[in-house]
Amino acid sequence: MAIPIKVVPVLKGKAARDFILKADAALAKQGTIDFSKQVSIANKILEKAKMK
Amino acid sequence: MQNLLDAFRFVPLTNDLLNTSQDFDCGHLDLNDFFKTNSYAFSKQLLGKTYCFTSEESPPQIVCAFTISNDSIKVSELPNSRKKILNRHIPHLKHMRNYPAVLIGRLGVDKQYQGQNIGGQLLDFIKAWFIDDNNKTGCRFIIVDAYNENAVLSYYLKNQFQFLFSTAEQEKSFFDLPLDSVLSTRLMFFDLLFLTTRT
Repeated sequence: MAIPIKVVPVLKGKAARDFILKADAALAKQGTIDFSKQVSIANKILEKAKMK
Repeated sequence: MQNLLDAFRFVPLTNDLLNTSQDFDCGHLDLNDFFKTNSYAFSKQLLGKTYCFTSEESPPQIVCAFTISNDSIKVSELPNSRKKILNRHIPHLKHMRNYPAVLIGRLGVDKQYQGQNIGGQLLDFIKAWFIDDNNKTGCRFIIVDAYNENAVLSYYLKNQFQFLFSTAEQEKSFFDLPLDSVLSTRLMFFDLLFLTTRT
């Protein structure tokens, strides 16, 4: 019997505050990692799979 | 090192494939069992879709597989400073944020292919898939419920995932688990907002 997939609980208190700080801080770093190469590879994989 | 694009095929995991492929063994009985006996029914019930990369040989070998579902991260509280600002501008605002996400419910790499960065390439593929312009819905985060094992956690950390709960104790409290219990899995997330394509 497979382990059930955990349901992500609603974050509250410190966990919520920490998460929002990270999520908001990420806005300032939006798009700082160039993922063009990986996206190009993914598109080719999907084209080869006829899923594009 | 073999790469996912040149060496393998990407396909949905179907019963036909399961019946005709070589046995998949990622080293976790739980995962092997899920992919073999539950994943197709899971897919048919629209609870999650399972995809895999297979070798080109005949019969094919499932190299790696993963199951994904729509999910979200819900946050019910805002930091005090932000709450004051929002209250001033938007009275009666419900202090709930809901971030769309995709959940990797299961992910495994066959033992023959472990240690060859197949898992890293797989996570890159999933990340790239969900920042694609053709994605039909918004998706901010990738969530994974990772086995609480050093090698597995290191793999996700190396691929820039972060723990959703800063400590195991905090995670246990959210699931009403005794503090002396051992978590079998840890929730982790990756923020897709960091990624961009410069094309």
